[in-house]
Amino acid sequence: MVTDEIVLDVKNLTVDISTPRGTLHVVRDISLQVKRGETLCIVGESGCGKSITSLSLMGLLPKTATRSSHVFEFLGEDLSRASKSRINDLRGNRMAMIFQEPMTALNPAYTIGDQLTEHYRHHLKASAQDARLRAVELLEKVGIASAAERLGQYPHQLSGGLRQRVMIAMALMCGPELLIADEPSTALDVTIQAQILRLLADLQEELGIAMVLITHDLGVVARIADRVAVMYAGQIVEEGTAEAIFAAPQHPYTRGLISCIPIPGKTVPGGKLGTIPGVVPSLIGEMKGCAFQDRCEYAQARCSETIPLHQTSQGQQWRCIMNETHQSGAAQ
Amino acid sequence: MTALIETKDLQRTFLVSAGLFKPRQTLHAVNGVDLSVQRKDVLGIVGESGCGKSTLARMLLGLTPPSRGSVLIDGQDISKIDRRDLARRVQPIFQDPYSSLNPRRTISSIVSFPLDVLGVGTKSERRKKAIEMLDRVGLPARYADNTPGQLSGGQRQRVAIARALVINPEIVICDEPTSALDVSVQAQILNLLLDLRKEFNLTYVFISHNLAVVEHIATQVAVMYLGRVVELTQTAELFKHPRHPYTQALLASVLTPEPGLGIPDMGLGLSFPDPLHPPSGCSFHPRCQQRRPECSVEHPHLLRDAQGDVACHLYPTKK
Repeated sequence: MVTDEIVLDVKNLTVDISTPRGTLHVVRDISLQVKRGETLCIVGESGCGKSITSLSLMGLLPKTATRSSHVFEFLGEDLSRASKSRINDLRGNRMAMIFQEPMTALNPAYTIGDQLTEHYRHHLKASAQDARLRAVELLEKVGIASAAERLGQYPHQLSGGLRQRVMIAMALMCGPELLIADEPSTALDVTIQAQILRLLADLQEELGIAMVLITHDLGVVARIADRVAVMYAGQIVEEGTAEAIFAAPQHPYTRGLISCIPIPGKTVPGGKLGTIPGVVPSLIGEMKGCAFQDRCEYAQARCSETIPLHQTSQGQQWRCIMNETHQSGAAQ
Repeated sequence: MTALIETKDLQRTFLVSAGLFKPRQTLHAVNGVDLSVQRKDVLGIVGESGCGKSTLARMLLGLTPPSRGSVLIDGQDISKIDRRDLARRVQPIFQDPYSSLNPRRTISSIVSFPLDVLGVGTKSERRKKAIEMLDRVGLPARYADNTPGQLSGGQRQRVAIARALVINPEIVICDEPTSALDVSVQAQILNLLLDLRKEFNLTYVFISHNLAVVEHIATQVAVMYLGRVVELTQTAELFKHPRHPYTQALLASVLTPEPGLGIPDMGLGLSFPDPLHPPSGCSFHPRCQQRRPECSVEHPHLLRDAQGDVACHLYPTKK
C-alpha cells in the first residue's frame, strides 16, 4: 500500500566526481521522492548515473565525489547537514541497501551469522543471543530452510540465489524504513530472479518499506514499480507511474528503450528491433540543452536551449521540447 | 538431408575434487545430448546456470573433447577433422567482449588473426579484408588501429563478430553474446546477427538464458536441464505450447514489460539441484509441480513426435 508519508525527499541532487581529465557531472540536478510502501524504480543504461545516485542516497560516495542538493530529507530530517555519526546511526539501521553482487558484498572470511548480526548488535545494542534469534527469524522470512544451521556457514557454501536472500535478510535486520536495492536480481538466473523480486515485493508490502530499486531491466521495472524514473546521462528525463511510462512513454529516449527489447508474442521473431543510434555523451563539462539531442530523431535547434519540463495531470513528467500533442503528431 | 551439425549421445564428465583426502567425484556436465541443426537454422539453447549449456558449446567448437558420443559436421566426426579445417567452418562468439579480446593487440590484428593462422593472402590483403569485415559489422575503419580498451562493450562485441566471420565460417556458436550488453546495444547486436545470417548463409547455435532474445532469433529451441535436453521444438511451437513442466516454468519466469501483471510464481522452489548428486529418476522431479510416483524412480524416455522432442513421464513413449 502506497501511503502519503514521504520517507525520502531529495531535490536538485548533483554529484560531481573529479578525475584527471576534468570534472565528471555524474548526476545532474535530479529530484526524487519516495513514500512509505512505494517502489520507485530508477532505470537506465550503464553509465547513466543510477548506481552513483543510489550510493549518494546512502552517503557512500567515493572520496573524490562531491554531493550537493537543495533538499535532502529522510523522514523529515535534513541529512545534508547531519553529522557523520548521525549518518552512521541511520545507515544499515533505518536506511539499508542491497548490492548487486552478493559474492563481493559479503565478506568471505566471516560466517553468515557474524555478518547478519554485526550491525544489529551495534545499532540496537542487542545481545548476541537476541541478534541470533532475529537472524534466524529473518532467514526464515526470506525463505531459507534450516536457518539456524546456515548461520555457521560461509558465503562460498551458498548458491547465488541463497546469497542474495542473505543480503536481503541482512538489509532487513534492523527494520529499515528505506531500502535501496541496486540491481538485486541481475546476477541471477531468470527463475531465481523472479523469486527474489517476488520476495522483495512481498516483504515491502508486509513491512511497509519505501523502496528504491535500481535496474536496467524494463521487464523488472514493469512488474515491480509503482513509479518509474528513467535516467539518461545523469538526468531524469522522464518520470511517472509504471502504467503511464509503458502505455504512453513521452520522452524519445524512453520510447527508444522500450522498442529495443524483444517481447515474446509482441515483437516479430527475426524482425528488426528498435535501436538508439549513437553513443552516450561524455559527462565531462557543462551540457547545453538536452543530453539526448545527438541521438534523437526529433532533434531541432531548440534542443540546445533550456529544456522545459512537461507534466500531465496524472503526474507523468518529462524533459523535452516537445509536449504531449507534438509527440503523438510526430509518431504518426 | 544430413544435418549440418549433429550430436550423437554426447556426454562430458568432469572429475571434481570433493575436498582434501576425499576421492574425486564425477560430474556429468552434459549427459546424452542428441541434437541436429539444419543449414541456415538457428538453434537456441536455454537453461539455468550449471545446466551444461557452455560445456555443450565448447564441445561443438571442438575445444573440449566429449567423454562419450560424437559431434558430426556434415556427417563427419569433428575429432577426425584437422583443427584448422574445423576452425574454417566453426567459429565462436563469446559472452564477455572484455575478456575474449587481447587487450594489447590492435583491432585490425585481432580481426585478421584467423586469416594469419590459416595463411590467407599477403599481410596487406589480410588487413584489407579485416577492415572490410569491420566495416560490415558497423565499425568504421578509423578504429582499426585502436586497442580494445578504447572501445565500448557493444563495439567490442562487433569486433568479436568480425573476427568470427572474417574467414567465412558456416557455423557460428554464440555463447550468451548479448548478456553483458545494455538493452539498446543488445538490440543492435541482435539486428546485426540476423542480417549477417542472411547475408552469409550462416547457421547459428545461440546459447542464452534470456528467453525473449531466444524467441526473437532462434528457429528451434532446446531446453536443457542438468546436462540433458528435456524439450526440443520449433520456436513458435515451444512458446505457444510448452510441454515439459520445466519449459512451462521457464517461460512463466520471463518478465515482459507489462505493468500490472505482477511477478509470477512458478513454484519451482529454491534450488537448482547439486549436479554432483543429481536426483533419481527424472532429474527435475523435486521441483516439478506435476510429478507422479514414477518420476522419482525412472528416467523418462524421449518422445519424438510431430511437435518435437520431449522427455517427461507426462508424455509416455509408445511401447
